[in-house]
Amino acid sequence: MKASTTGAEALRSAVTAATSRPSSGGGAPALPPELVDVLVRLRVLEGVPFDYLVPDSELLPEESIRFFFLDRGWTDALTQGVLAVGAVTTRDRMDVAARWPEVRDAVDAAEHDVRAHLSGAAPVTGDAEAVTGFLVRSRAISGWPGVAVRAYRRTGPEQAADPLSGLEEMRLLRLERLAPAVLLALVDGVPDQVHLEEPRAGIQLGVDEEPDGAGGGITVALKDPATGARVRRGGADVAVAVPFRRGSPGVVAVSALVEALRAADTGGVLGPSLGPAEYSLQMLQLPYRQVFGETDSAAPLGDLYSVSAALTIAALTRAWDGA
Amino acid sequence: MSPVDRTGSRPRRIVVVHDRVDPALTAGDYEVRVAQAVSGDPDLGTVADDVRHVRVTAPRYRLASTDVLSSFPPPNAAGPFTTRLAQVALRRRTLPWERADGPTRPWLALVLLSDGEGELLASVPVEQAVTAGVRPAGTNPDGPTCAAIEISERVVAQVFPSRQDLPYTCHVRQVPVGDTELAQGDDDGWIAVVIASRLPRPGLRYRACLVSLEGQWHELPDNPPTETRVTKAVVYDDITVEQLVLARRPSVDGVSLTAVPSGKTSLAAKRPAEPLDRETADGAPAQASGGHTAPDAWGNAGTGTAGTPVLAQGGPVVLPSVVTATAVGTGAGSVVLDVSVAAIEPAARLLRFPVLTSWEFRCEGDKDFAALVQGLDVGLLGTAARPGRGPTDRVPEVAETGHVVLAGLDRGGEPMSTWYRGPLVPRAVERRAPEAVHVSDQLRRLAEDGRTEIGEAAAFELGRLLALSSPSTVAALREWRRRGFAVRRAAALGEVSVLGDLLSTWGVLDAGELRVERFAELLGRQVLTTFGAPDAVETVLPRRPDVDPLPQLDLLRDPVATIAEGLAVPIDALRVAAGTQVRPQLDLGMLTPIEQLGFTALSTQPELLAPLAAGLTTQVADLTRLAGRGLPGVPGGPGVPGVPGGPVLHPHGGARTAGVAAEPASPARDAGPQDELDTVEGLFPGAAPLAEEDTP
Repeated sequence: MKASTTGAEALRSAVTAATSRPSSGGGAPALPPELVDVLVRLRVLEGVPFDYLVPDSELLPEESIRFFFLDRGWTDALTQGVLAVGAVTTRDRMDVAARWPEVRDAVDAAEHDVRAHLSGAAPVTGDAEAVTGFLVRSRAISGWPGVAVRAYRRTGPEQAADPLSGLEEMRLLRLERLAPAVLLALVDGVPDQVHLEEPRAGIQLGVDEEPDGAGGGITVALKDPATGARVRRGGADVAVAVPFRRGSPGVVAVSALVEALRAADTGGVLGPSLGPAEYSLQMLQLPYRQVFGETDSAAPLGDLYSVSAALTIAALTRAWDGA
Repeated sequence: MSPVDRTGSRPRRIVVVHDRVDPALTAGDYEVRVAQAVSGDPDLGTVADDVRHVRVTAPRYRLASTDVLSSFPPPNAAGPFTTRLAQVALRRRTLPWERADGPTRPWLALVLLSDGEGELLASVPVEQAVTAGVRPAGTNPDGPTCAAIEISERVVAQVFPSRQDLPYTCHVRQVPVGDTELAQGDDDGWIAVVIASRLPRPGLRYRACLVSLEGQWHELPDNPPTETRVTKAVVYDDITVEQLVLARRPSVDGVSLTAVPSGKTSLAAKRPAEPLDRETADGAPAQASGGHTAPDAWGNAGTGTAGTPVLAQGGPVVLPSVVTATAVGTGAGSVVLDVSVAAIEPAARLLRFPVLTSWEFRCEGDKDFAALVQGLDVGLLGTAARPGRGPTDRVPEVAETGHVVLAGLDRGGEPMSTWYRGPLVPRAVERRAPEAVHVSDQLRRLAEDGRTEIGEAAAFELGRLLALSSPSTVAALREWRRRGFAVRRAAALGEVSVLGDLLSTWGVLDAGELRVERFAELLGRQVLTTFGAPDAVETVLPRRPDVDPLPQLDLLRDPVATIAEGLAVPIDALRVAAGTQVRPQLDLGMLTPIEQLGFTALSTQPELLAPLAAGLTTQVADLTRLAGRGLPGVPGGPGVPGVPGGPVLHPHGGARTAGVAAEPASPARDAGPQDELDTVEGLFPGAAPLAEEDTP
């Protein structure tokens, strides 16, 4: 009979619905992926107006870098603001309250991989760690689009030969230019070192210029043609002042510079002659990498970047091989 | 050279740099003569020489576009190239030496020309591309016309590489083909590179020209004297802008410069505001430029050139005397190379060189990357800048925790200052236990100085607004909530429903599957055995409780804690205050009239609420007294509205306070939250109504 069949089916489905209920937690459906995506993006402060990040321009002056921790309470409040949308009645609110810990955990778990689609890195799970980061406001950001940012955690001792030894690269949760001259980086964890590296665009030749050099200040660092490394003497680079053609608008007197380089080479790294090839090596400008952080200790960020602590700023020259 | 050896998985990328790669034959006509000497028997005679002619060609007046691999600075780029030598990479490794007249003399040179330093002739017959009188031997493989520059001897002497420098400006790189960054798409990895020797100066535009020196090596400066510092930025540092403007060819792109100036042809309009103002003050405005009216040109100049570096700060190389001349070079637009050199430098001997390729770039800024990042001021966000570092001398009011004082308006429209802290804080912050928040006011905190802290409240409101701005997010939230309710309700129903209870009692479920035939049999037997007994139904079918899948409110479990949290007062002090006085305890028993009678009955018999009202009033009076204690200008009594400096008791957590009375009534019987709010408001003399959140 059609009618009885229908009744049995209805009963079966009703019972199935009543009995297949998971035993724990009321069985509410998990947060849908699109909402997780929205919340994770908010958690890395995407779409948050800059005024909310830096409420006073004095906190981020021109030509400055400012490190910070991410306040989880703030981002939790941000997330809860999203969840509060449409929660009108008391029941809605109780529902949000009941599910908030679950939502929070889901977003925490997804947070690690917010940039995984960019880097192609394997997905990582686990509890959300502390998130740190920094803001840079500088002409170095506006003038060099594509500055490479790397954050490292120290996992072993540093070896003299390789400044990158004992360092583990950390995930970046966000790296974005908020304005032409303002760069925001969020790191998944507390780094020991942060590197800012000049964009790598082929091989560039040029000179060094003292930051605030009074008068001239244009030099070329003597480099070992065998390695490309700068020759150091007495703890400093051997800088050769660049001679210019007299009365010219900044034309380098190349042959005089070559002589000056040979004169400065007391260690004999240059060999008997300095031809066009060696000259180009001396003028080579490797991408500059600025290191923020201690290079020889595993001090936590809090100590490292507090204003009173001295910062060791070391310049790493990089060889041809890229990291 | 070899790279620094880094042990690791990174591949070694080796670039080998060679001084030069000489071609097997330089360009020209060759005669191949094959002679055979026959020895031995003289009767065999001789073999006539065989003469063949071979012509070796090489680019001479122009380069195919594929010959140029890359150039630095990139064409039309703008950037701080002050410490970089321009270079051009050529695909043909022997190219710089193919027309050389000696082993150490390349025939190509890369020269940078700035405004007014020459005239770029886009297309001239190749015979006119060289200085008059020069007759390069050999054939021309490149067609009848080419580009050339006409410059004065003075420019050649100052800008072109000297005879001694010339060999150093070319070299060959051999790079791994697999490394796209270094090889730049070259097929064999051999790249000839021509380097300029002129360093760009900030604020100037340049055109880099790869010129042919063939037949004109003798024009290059010979062993010029040196100096230790740069004294000027352009060759003609003694001419004025007006002279430069006048020297321009009368038409550009067919538009006469004497007509009403357009943005494209008006040189003056491109100049930044600051040098122009100085220009005007000098009494040498633009009458000389013919048809330009000063206000128009100046007015245009103010916009569009923002961000142009101020030349006076450009460093030691820019002398005051060249400021006016260099002003021409700033701003957008092409390098001014359409000038008549004769007009700028009368009676100068003019030279011409073929230009094989050229491109423009603009040099901005005076510091390189290393100098800039080394000069960065390092600190923690949320710490006050050192005076003088910031845009102004103002020092913001910043707490150690990173909180900043912001000015704003309170809910009554009065100016107030609040503490704000964004998500970026100078020290690690403990994450609070998960606790649901429904309105931003729950996140407002009172600081010790009486000002409100609105950081997280602002975050909450921001999250709400951002979600509301995205319809898809709102829809997803609604769907998620709806499904959550449905599932939760079904689950709760299954737990207590008649059907579920019966089924589990009767054991007709086998691993979640219903045995229908057994169910029918059992059902029939059950009905028969219980038929007739008056209370049988009650036993078999338990009374269905109210379905409320949501957790019960427990606000009244600890009313002191609830009030302390809501009003942001220290709970310990509140407990002391609460414990020292005897008062009617606020407990659930006071709510029983509401539960039992409902609001309808209560509205006719208000005296039933007396115990509750008394309890609440006592609590609130104590609380208000407590809150007022220690605050300036407030006596120990209840807060007085409008007292200057007095505590403004915003109903923090007002929704919860309202819930104290409202919750026990089920939604079906709820008289509406507004009634309860009114009640609470009446109990709080100083309370302000709920209003929009103040956000920065």
